[in-house]
Amino acid sequence: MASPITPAQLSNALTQSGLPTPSPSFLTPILNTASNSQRQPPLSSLSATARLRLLSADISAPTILSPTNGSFPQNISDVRVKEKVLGQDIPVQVIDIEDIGRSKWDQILDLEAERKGERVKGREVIRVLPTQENENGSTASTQAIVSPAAANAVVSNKGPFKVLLQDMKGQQVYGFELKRVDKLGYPPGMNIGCKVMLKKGCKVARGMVLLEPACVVVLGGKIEALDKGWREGREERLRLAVKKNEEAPGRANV
Amino acid sequence: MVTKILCVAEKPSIAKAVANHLSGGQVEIRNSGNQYIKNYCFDFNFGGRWGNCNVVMTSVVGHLTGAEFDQEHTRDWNYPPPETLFSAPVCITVDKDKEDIAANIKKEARFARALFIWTDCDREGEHIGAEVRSQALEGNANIQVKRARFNNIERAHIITAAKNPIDLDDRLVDAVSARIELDLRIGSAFTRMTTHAVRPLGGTLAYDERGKRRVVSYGPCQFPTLGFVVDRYFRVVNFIPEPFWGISVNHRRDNIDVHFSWKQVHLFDRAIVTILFERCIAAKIAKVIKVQEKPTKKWKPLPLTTVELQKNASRFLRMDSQRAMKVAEDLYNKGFISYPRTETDRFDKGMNLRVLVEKQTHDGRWGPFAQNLVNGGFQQPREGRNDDKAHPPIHPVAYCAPTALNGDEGKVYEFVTRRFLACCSEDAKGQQTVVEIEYGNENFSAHGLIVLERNYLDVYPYDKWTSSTILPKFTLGERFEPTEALMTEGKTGPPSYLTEPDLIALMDANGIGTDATMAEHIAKIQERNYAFTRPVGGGRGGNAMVEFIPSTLGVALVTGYDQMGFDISLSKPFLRKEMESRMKDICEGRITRRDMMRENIRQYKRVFEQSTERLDVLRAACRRYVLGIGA
Repeated sequence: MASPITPAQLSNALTQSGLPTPSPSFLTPILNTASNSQRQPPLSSLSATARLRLLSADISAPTILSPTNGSFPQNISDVRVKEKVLGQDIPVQVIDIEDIGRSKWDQILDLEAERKGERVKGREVIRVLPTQENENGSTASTQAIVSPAAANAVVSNKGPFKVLLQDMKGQQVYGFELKRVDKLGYPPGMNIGCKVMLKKGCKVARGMVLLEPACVVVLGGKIEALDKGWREGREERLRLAVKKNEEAPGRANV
Repeated sequence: MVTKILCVAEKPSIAKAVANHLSGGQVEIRNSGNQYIKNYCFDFNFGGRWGNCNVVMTSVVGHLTGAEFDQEHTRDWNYPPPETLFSAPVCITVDKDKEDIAANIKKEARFARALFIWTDCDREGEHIGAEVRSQALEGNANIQVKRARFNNIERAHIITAAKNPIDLDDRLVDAVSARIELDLRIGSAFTRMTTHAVRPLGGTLAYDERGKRRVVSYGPCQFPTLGFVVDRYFRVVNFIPEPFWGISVNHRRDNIDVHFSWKQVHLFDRAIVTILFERCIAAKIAKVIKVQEKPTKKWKPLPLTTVELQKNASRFLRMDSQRAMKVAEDLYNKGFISYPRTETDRFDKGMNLRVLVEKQTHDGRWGPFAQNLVNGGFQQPREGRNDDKAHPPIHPVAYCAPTALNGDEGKVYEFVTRRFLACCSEDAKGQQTVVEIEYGNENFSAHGLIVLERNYLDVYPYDKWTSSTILPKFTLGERFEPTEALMTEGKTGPPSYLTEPDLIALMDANGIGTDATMAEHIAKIQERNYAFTRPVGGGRGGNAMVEFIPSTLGVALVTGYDQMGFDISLSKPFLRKEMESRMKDICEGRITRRDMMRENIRQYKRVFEQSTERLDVLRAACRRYVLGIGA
């Protein structure tokens, strides 16, 4: 009989596929369930399970990632710092995202049309009928209707996007696409809670992370509750933001 | 005995023109019993099996008959209740003021061997042809029925049409009769229901502006048309501006100021643009990453369709779509242009366009241009994707001196002719230069254009394409320090109210009405006081394009029906679009009139039933917008 899989082996398997190092307390339950059963499953299936759980976890919780992982330096958000470079890889999760290439009002109109089941193609108004899955309920809290093919394709080509990133210590910092990063975009293409590895050498300017394909690895995943709340509250948040903009005197009214 | 043939056109002017062409001027004119209609009697050799015949050429004036409910359903709007109108008996009768026309056809048919129908070759024309046929058959059950196929009233074309008659297409007739019946049922049912619902609210909802009892008329095309107007209105009034920021780079070289525009145009986040701008300034030096010089073209326009004519008329000729169509029809009746109701934007390969160009060579304005085409400049027009298989694109069929036309006719004739000549000419050609630079992390580009050959633009002043300043020389890979970089700021602006070209384009894209009826629907919503127009930007003078603003009643109706919350609102184009596409199916033989009617009535009846239950929502909207209560 083969010797049981060790936490180190499993951890290795995960980091080799680009994931951050998990904490032992995250791995233990996975290994325990496995050794309780008659025959231990192979490493590949254990690591698949671990991967899935890790990607759906909230990495700011204390028992998920190993403290050996990188996290943001303390003064990361300091706007007085013109430019600095990250000295190590830092795993983060996306907790908010915004398309800064389009006005919020435009985005509100799109959401409204989606809610009414319409879509505008050129000048033509098209009725969008809910797909089978949506009719059967499930998790679809918005009416975003996306065919499986579309969901697999490169995420929304609009943008650039500004994202709010959170590291394992819970520190939050904004980042934006200096160059287009394919898998970043609005849900459901990318979900809230999506894990991203910021690579060593990634630049930070005036407290914002400059995202570009060379220094960003989008790992995927989502935090279910966060994602649901984000989607449900999106139109409301956009409306509030637009209102605030309008009320702010001077600036907007050039 | 010589064979007698009865010919019937759609309007008196066509009857007269066709009679003149066929008779060569040898016509005896008799009274028909109707003061506007004459019977033209002459001889004509149709050739083939008809040979030399006595001809009586007369006409109708549009549709002969109308659809009405029976007595029981017209007397009282309350009883029987409106929903019975979906199945109540509908009678088709000759309109009261057209009985003498029908009698004339019956009488003239009596001793005729054949009836040749000369109505316009489109769906409505086919239906009018069928109305004529049924009158003729009443007068003479044995009469043979044929129809002439023509799309302009130029002499040779008319003679060819007379010698090659075809059969009436009953599928088109069915499609139109289905639409007439559906419009009657649906229109009456919803009109009565809506009127009942709002009258008790009092004020202007009980009695209209002229002191008459208010009628809130519903039409299956008008409502979606109004829906577009109201939808845009709300987009304008609800609009909230937002600030955005950008980066602009300028460079002076060889005494030329070159403006480089930002690839990202602008972004809605000041902090981010500030960071990007700072990085540009810090980089100091820009690098040329692309220099491209390539030939470019401005394509000549597509052959002219009705919708395009209407859009361009309000854009360039300052004529609303209804007026433009009226004028175009007059020009057609006089034999100057081809049939102006067409969806086709490609000329048939077999058509001799050069001959048509040649007819224009004597004009003082575009004659030399046409002469140039005749002398070898002629190019086959571009081909669009639409072909209604009935009519060619709108084009001039005969030359007409400007003095022979009144103001508006002259403008439309000029537009049609210039458009046609442009189609037969060549694309405009130019040289485009693009210089792209990388500056900081951002890309910027400058564009230059030199127009080399104007070609079609010389005859078609409605399109603009002009050279920009010439760009100085930039070399790939070269580095330079831009003279100036600026962070710019702006804010988004509201959309504008719908103009007529916008509205026509929306109706066209959404299948509301046909090219033949769009102008009528637009006129209807104004006639009903659901919407009104004013010059764009509130400008003065009669020379500006107009925009559509809904009335309070218009807003109330659309909002009311929208807020009922059905999956298919009456103010949306979906139901009507479905009906129009089913009509096409009938025309092309894919479904029968019966099936189409059954399906459509079922759909509307369902919406009707749902609406009846939610009339409170409509009343609330009327109270709010029309009476100003609870706003």
